[in-house]
Amino acid sequence: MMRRVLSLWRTSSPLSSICLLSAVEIVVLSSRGLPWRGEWAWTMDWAAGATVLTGPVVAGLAAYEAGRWRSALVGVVMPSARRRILGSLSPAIGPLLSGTLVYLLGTLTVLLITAVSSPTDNFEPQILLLGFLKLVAYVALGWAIGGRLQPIIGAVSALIIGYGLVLLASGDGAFSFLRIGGSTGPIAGMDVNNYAVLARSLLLVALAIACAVAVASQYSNTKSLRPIVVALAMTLAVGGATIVHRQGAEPYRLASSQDRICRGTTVQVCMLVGNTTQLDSWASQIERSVTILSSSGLQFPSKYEEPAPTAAGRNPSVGELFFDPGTVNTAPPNRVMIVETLSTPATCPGFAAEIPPTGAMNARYWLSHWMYHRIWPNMGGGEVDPTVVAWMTQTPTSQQDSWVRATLMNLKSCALEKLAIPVAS
Amino acid sequence: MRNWRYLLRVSPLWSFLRVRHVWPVAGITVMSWLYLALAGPFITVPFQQRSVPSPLIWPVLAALGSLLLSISQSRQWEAGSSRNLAPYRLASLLLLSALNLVVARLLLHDLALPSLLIWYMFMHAVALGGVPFVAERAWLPLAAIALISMYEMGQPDSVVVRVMQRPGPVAIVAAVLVYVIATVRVSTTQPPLQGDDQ
Repeated sequence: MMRRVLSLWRTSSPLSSICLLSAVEIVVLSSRGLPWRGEWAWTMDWAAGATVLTGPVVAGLAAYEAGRWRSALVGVVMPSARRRILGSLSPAIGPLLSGTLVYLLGTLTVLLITAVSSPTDNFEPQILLLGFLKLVAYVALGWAIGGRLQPIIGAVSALIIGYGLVLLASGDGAFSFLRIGGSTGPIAGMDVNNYAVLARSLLLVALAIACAVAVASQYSNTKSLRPIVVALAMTLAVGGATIVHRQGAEPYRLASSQDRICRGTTVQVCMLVGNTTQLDSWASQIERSVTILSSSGLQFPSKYEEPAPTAAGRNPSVGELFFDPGTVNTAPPNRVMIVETLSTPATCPGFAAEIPPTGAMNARYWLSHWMYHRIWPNMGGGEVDPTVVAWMTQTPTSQQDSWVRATLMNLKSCALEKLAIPVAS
Repeated sequence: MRNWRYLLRVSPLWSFLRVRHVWPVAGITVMSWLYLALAGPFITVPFQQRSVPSPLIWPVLAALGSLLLSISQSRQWEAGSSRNLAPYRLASLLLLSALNLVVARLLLHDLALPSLLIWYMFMHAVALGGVPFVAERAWLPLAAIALISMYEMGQPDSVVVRVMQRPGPVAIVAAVLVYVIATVRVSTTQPPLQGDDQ
């Protein structure tokens, strides 16, 4: 059996397919400076997301092989095959094996890279199953398209249809079940929605079976089997759609508990599990900055937390970490992030009000620039507002300290109406 | 009417066009024009943080048409032809390019034509570049480069979009060169026999 499968694979020019798929996989996995490093969930999501491009390619490859095999299947294989439906599978085996091999190797590589960073979140690989099933569905789709066309026409058609489905899936319509992975930010604070994973799996399998039925009906007259398989595909599709209707289609949902890991003594810095690669760097920089600023009598909150992914999960009574989601695990915080964090001692809902609190926002802006200039007096450069620097040079230190103390206290208690920049007050 | 149909069936030009996938090429080309006419100004590319100007997808579709036109369904028939088919190949490819560009110009009033021209010529060259070596398997490198470039265009600091927005003389000269070389080469070379031909 294994030998037969391998010989079928060899007939599909696996080297060129693997080279092509690898090139596409490498481009996707290595783009944007590998921001997923250090978080299992994001790493697996990114690996599954590579099927956005490899899916249409395997569809094209399957269609090409189906077109090449058509005359052989009709003339030689099918009349002599003991199991005709299995015989008609032959063209799909090569592209599926090539696609799966590249997917596995790509996934293993990114998992190894993340493992080196000692990730702290749970290893939940369900999303990887969806990536594989998407490849299976695309192979089946290409196989169905290519079985009725010349090889090159089939390949081009399957590629266009496959990519068209990817574009359609990026919306919220009926094809959204094909949107798998590809998160552009961390997934920390979210749990895998197993119902959505199950629903998508059922829909992908149903699509693959529907395509297989279309192919089998072209080559075989086993009428007794066809209604059973069609009924199975329909049952799976209805089951998947029902689960989506009841439990939602999004593969992630806000975790019931936002688990964080904390560091620091004077002020604790807490980051969501999965985003802790740079935690020590954050804690030491916040600690150093708080020590410098405390000489002005500033009372910082005892804890700064990385906020939950949605507003619903945020704790208003602690300071909020300002971070770049694209580099949360790959680069230490920069100076702007440190002062933005320190000048956000509480999560005030008023900042997200329909009418923005301009006075409070300006005061917070001044406070952060004051902090920047106080912590790094000789390194302000163009990053500190010259108006703030001018005020600092013209105003006695005691007066400055009095304003920053009052401003930080009002930010801490979310008394936004009391906030104003010093020149206006 | 009957004479016209008869001439179409037997004329060497029509026979040539038929072995060169004339109907699929027409289908893909019309589809690409419909896309140009109906698509919004931007298209959301999955896995990305920004949208891509819709017209930049069109050259990929147009290049697929060029690829199909450059591949013969009956290489043995072409190889055994008493006529020199190189002028037919060259003329059909140039005609398709000209037609594509005229329609693109008519449909796209806002987009800078040089940008689109450059991208079209590059994709056209990629489509035809592999044909002399791997015949119809040339769809593989075209697919890879088209998908990768579309992915790249969705990146916040996309090189392709940057070059398209301000095409320098190097990009223009390179695009024209690769277009001419690929078109002439594919027109004057017999593709290797492959698959059912062997």
